[in-house]
Amino acid sequence: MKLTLVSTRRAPQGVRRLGGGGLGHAPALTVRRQNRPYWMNAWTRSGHEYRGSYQTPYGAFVGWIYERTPREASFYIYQPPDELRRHAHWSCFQPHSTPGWFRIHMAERPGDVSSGIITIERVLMDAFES
Amino acid sequence: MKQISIVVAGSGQIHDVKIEPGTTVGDVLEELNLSDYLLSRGPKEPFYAKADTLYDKLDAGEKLFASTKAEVGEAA
Repeated sequence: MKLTLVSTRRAPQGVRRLGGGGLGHAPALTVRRQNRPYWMNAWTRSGHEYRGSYQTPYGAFVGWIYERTPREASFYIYQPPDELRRHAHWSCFQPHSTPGWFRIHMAERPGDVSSGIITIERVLMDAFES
Repeated sequence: MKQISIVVAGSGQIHDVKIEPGTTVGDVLEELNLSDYLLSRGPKEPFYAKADTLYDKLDAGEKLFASTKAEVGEAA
């Protein structure tokens, strides 16, 4: 198939700058790694409270965490998925007085909020995969 | 020797460590004073056993997650 050149124009200034003003590769950028706790990926903190969501490949599920001390936190989930309701651990999710919210009982408490979030995300994933 | 990174989930702190053939998960955790922690390739991946050797399982530059053990279950 033949190619027809319709027109030629200069790249926008921003693109020219990215290319160093000429042809070829732009200079390599160094992207520094982030030293940040896992909860910061999907949660925000305000005092003792964390609001965010448990992240899984099957969806994100709204949650709330109250951290009394670094080793003593209560985990909640809003409107857990049906898959979780059929899971062996469903009895560990106790309805809260606020409609739609469930408190998650921990047989073994995590050492920090991030580890608790990871644990709950693993249970959610297991519920979808089993 | 391979260099890998261990990210502590709770703090975000990153430890760069060099491992050699035969280095176990337990060796790494003990060296980093993280004996109460578990290692996994990521938050969605299964945990390694403490006796697992890491050298053959990982490529240089890989990152592992360290998180504390926890279990959803009936409150004691």
